[in-house]
Amino acid sequence: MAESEEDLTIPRAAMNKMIKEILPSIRVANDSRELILNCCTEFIHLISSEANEICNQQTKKTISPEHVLQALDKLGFGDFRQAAQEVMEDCKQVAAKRRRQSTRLEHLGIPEEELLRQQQELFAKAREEQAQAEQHEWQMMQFAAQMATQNPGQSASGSADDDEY
Amino acid sequence: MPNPAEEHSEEFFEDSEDDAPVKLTQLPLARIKRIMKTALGEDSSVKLINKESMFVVAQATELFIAAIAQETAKITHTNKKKTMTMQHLITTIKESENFAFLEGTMHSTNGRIR
Repeated sequence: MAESEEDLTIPRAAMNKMIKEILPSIRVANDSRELILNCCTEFIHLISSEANEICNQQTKKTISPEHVLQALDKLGFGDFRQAAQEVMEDCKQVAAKRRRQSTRLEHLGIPEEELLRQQQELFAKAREEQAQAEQHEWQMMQFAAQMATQNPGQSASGSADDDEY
Repeated sequence: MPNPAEEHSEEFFEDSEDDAPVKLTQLPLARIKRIMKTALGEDSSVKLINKESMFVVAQATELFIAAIAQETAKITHTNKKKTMTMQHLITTIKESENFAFLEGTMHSTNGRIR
């Protein structure tokens, strides 16, 4: 499906997932989804243009997160700014924590060859477990298939999906 | 045609100091970047967009979806309906000052579907 650059939207599946998380018990008509999708693109255009203008005013060549945050403020989406900033704070904390953890690992004094050997062991173990899990799953499928042929008339499908897409 | 693997890898926000990616947004950053570039017009070839900025835009978009969905759900509820319709969305766009910028989008989407 050829799309011109202007028609680019965010992935429909991602949007559907978000809507489902926000409104778990409301159905959303297909044409409404289409509209929300286009609105998202328009929103991104709006924020980007504004951020770009702010960036130009500061005679910078790179659009920075601060430009985007200011754009949100200017366009009346100030509470988005706060929420976005909180998430950014969380990211920084996660990143900092990870950096501390990797430093701790270096200080344990385990030589690299030993670490490598341990890693190989873990991989081998994981492969084995995976093979076993697959084997088990195959057996379960066989078993289920057998049951189905013995009891025709039992339906395996779950309840009707109330999603509209 | 974008490389799907590339689009997928940018879904994760990568910490520049250590390479392990952490998934922080449901929207692919590569896609966000392309949409942003479209909006920049002449500046699209001259400007660089910081990865963190794309992330902020992705976050803001998620918040936008939440806002418009929740606002519209109120109207659906008021109308005692279980399905959110185009009409409910149109009402939200017309009545909310924050969403006024969507009037044009509303009309062109309508035209495309009906």
